[in-house]
Amino acid sequence: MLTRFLNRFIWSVLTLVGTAVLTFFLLNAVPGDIAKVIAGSKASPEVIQEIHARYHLDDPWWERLGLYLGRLARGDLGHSYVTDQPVLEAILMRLPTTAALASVAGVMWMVIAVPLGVLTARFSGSWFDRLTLVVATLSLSLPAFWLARMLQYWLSYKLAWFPVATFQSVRHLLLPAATLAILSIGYYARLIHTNMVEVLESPYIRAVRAKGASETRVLFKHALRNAVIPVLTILGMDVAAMLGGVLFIENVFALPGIGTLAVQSVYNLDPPMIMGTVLFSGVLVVGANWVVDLAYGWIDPRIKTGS
Amino acid sequence: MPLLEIRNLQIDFGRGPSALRAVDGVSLTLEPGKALCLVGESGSGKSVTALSIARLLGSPPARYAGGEILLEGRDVLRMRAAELRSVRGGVVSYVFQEPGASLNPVFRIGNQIKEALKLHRPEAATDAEVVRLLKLAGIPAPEARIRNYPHEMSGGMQQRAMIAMALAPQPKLLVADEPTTALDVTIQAQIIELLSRLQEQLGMAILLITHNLGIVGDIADDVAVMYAGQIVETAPAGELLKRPLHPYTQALMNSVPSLDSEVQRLTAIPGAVPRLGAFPAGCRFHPRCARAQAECSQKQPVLVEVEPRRWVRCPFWNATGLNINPGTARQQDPSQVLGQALRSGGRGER
Amino acid sequence: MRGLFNAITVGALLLMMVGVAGADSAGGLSGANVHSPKRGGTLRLAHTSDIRSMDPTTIYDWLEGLLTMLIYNPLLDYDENDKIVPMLAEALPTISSDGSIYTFRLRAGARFSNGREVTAEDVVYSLERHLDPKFHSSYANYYQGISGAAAFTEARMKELTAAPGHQPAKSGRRIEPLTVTGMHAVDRRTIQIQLEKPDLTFSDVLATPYSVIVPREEVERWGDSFAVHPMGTGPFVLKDWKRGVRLKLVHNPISLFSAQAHVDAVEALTGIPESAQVMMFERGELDFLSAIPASDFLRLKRDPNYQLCIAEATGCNPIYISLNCEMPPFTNRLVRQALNYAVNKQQILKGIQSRGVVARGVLPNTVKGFNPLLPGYPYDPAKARMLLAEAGITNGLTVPFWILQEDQDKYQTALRVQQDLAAVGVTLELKIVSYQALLDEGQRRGHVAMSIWDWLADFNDPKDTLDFLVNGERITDDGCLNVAFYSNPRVNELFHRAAPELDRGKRLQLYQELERIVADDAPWIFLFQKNDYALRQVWLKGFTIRSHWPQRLENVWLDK
Repeated sequence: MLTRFLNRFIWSVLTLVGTAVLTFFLLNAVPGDIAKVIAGSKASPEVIQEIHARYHLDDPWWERLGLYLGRLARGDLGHSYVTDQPVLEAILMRLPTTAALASVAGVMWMVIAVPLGVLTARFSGSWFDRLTLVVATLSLSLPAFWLARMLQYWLSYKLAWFPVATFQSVRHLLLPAATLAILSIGYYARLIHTNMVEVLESPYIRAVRAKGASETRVLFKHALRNAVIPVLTILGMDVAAMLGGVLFIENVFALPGIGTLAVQSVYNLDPPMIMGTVLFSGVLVVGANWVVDLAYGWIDPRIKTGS
Repeated sequence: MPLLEIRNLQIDFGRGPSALRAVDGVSLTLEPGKALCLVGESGSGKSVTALSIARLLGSPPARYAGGEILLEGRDVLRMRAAELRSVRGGVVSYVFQEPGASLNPVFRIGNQIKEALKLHRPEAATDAEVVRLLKLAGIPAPEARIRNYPHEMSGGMQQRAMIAMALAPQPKLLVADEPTTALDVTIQAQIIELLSRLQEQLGMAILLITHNLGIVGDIADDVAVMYAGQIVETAPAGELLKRPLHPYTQALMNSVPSLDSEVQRLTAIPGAVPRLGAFPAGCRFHPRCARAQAECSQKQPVLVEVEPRRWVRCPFWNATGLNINPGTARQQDPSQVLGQALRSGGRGER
Repeated sequence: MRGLFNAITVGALLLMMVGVAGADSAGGLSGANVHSPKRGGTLRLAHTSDIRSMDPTTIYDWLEGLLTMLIYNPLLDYDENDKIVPMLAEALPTISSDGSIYTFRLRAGARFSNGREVTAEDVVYSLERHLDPKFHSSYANYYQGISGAAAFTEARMKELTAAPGHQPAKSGRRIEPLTVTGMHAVDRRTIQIQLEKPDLTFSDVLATPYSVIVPREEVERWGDSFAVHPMGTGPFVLKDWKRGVRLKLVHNPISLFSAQAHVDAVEALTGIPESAQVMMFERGELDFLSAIPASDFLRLKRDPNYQLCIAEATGCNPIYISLNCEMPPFTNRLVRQALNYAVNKQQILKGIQSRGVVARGVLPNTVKGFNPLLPGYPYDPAKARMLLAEAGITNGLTVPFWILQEDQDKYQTALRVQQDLAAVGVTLELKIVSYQALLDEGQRRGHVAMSIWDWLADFNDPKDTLDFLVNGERITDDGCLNVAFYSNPRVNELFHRAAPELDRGKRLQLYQELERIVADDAPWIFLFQKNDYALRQVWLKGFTIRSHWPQRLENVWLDK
């Protein structure tokens, strides 16, 4: 038990360190002098020199990498070259927006995907099931950026049902969350459908019916509870990935989340911010893995006591 | 009034010209408090019949093509959903073959039993009642068992828990579909004994589905033998065991190893149960029958009450001087036969 | 008949406007109050990214410039007609007869928003900051003409490199000189600045947003984050700022310029992509856009609802292709001229919705000294081929052409140029690079033969554009803004003569003369001068578009 934990922990750390190192090298591979970008094209050589000194741009790469990793170990993600804001502070400031968006979207799609999955399994083969399959496949194939723009154009701009952009109230989150939801509903509905179909074939479902339970109870209390177990773990990973920033959606709707921060930092050629957002994403995914693993053991009693 | 009366039940799988008839004109009667064993090999249609009593077959693919199933005088096949739900559990309860798979793995035993109580006897839905039921089913230390998950119990314990759950709504009829097939031999006897005891204690009727003639004697009042979707013989249990009349029943009896007989070799029934849709012409058993005559391949025999309360589907049931086909009555090595018998009776049909 | 009809229509419209306005204005007798400013309201702006700084040493984009001029004031300013007027200074400076000494007097009652009175020391400090490398000002070169600037910069540089970690030495040794000798405060409200050589553009420099006056104690208090904690003399102060989301300024009643600032607050939403900005504008959620995205341009231009909303400043920003005169084949003037004839500039302009005018020289239309009589290079592929042949190019040419993909206009232009040149046997190999790479390589000697650039003038004087871009003596091995590495001794000599020239007429003549030579030498393919556009709601009044950076919104009002 302890060895498993240690094993897990070491691999997580290695993953994160690897991410940091890889990003560091990628950024270093970008040609050009970052100091010129920071200083602007009219800057004098002294200023360029000063920036080089301030950010240790002339030090050998292993020293810079070492410096960076050392600061990382202390939880210091550095400061933005562009705005001078501490990277961690900038990320944490944006986290609530992304988290709100991810949660609302997650709730939206689960609320629709679950009944859809359950009912299409119950009425497997019917026109309802087939129609849902087609729609689900469609929704999976939609490009996120396109969908976001389309919805924004038609529903916000043309019909004024929603605000166009920015995050000034909960209303502003509805359309972006709906966009995210639409993209995921298809996948989750089919996933639940498949699991439900399998579960509904189980002997214990027949046994529950034999007890005289209503079909609703059979579906939503007994079958769903079993079918949803693998789905929850996938949902966990998905939410974690989203928390790392839902780039397209945030960009189109101008939501000040981690996604926009990441995109901005690339446009601004701001290495500490770029590395910060990438690492943050990495931490979330690694963390989600942990949580999902633990949750799985908790949700499925067969795993907890080792069947 | 009989508790259960099945009249000419016909069940198809599939639709249209490619439909296969799994149950072909089965009729049964069961009085309150009595135990009836429905015996047959895999593929005989016995489980399908049993499941249809509470309309538990998946429909599609099953289709109730004809007949009636009267529970306390009401036709189950024509009941509305609400009434059916109250009948399920309230009048007839089930115990299934694989107890582990028939219990929901993510809920505790106590909860599942309490659910059965809540559905039919909500006033009694208490932990105390659950404990009582578990005790009734012979589970030791029931207070602790309430919090167990199914996978935390042995096969025998699981079956007892299932029985407790089936008893919770105080049904009038308990249908046990091969309840011991998946259990160890030693546990089998215990469970059968438990069922028998419960039948007496609670005045409950039992319909026991099995392929194993060996357990019939311990519990049944009456026996019905099924073959290829039809009942081929019914009789009071003692009578049937002493003196089987249908060739198939006789062959079945001969193939059961018995500890207290001195038979050196076992007789296997040659051939196999015909698949649905591939029934032979005339009598469905005739290709495997030691007593088959020319007429058997042409005319379908009907069930005839040849003695009081004894029905047989064979015109030659008591014929003497028949040509016995020596080839079909050949003797075999016991170990091989035993293996064959166990294999053919291993898993009940769907 | 037509004329009469028009006159009646216009008259009727005017009457209607007057009538409507009359109905609106509270207690107004007639429509006489149509143009008097209304107080109140929040001016709503948007920007594609968060702003990085409101520190005059590092401001860069349009919003940063605009906000700086809301919060701060320089000594001088440009009015709507690009004339230099006094702002924090009481009057235009007294300039010595040899043109090298400028004397200013501060206006009485000028205060920072914390209440402290502005002094001459503040002016000296603000200008001095640009020369101190510790503040890494991007605009130091504008102040290097001040006497003693070089020595000051050098001394500060020495202090910085001596200190460990390159942090400003708090306890380290201080090196002389401690001040810029050419600048000093004569008394509490008088400043005197001496230039190394006379330079008429110094007044222009003092009218740019870089020259705004900042309080020393605030700079020292905030250190590196002074850029995000501005405090100035202007009619607005920073109220709050949610980084990356929204920035809010509110009216500052104690500023000398409060009376002409009519709105209560200015709100800037940041991080909004252009497409969303246009949508928000059309939905009335924004009051002002500083640019119109290419994809919406034609639609908005043709929409009758927006006729009054689009403001255009024609021919502000040169877009040009540099031909590296130090790298073959562009060492040969004939080749450079040939390329100019080979490109169909009108056609390219059409390709970007005619948002500009064809360029015939270096200077944008809006700069003093712009010469409308330059011949330019009309589209003439036959002539191009002839010139190429004359230059000895018989088998065609292949040249690597560095471009950015991010700027759609430049990218489209580059593709068309590639096509045009292919028709005369010149093959361009497109090399798509990042902004960082282009800046780095393009400004380095001997690296980039051909690339496409734009230029934003800081003030309205030909020297700003010409000196940086085509003065051979400004060529450096690295960080060179003369990206064509063009050097013509005659031109360089003219620069020498023009810079200290005090006679304005003569000065312009000299610059025009050198521009003629440059145009003839063709170190660039002269493409076009792009227009600047602004989009404002009909209810935003008092706005006049400026032809150079930044746009100004201090004195607008919202008439809703």
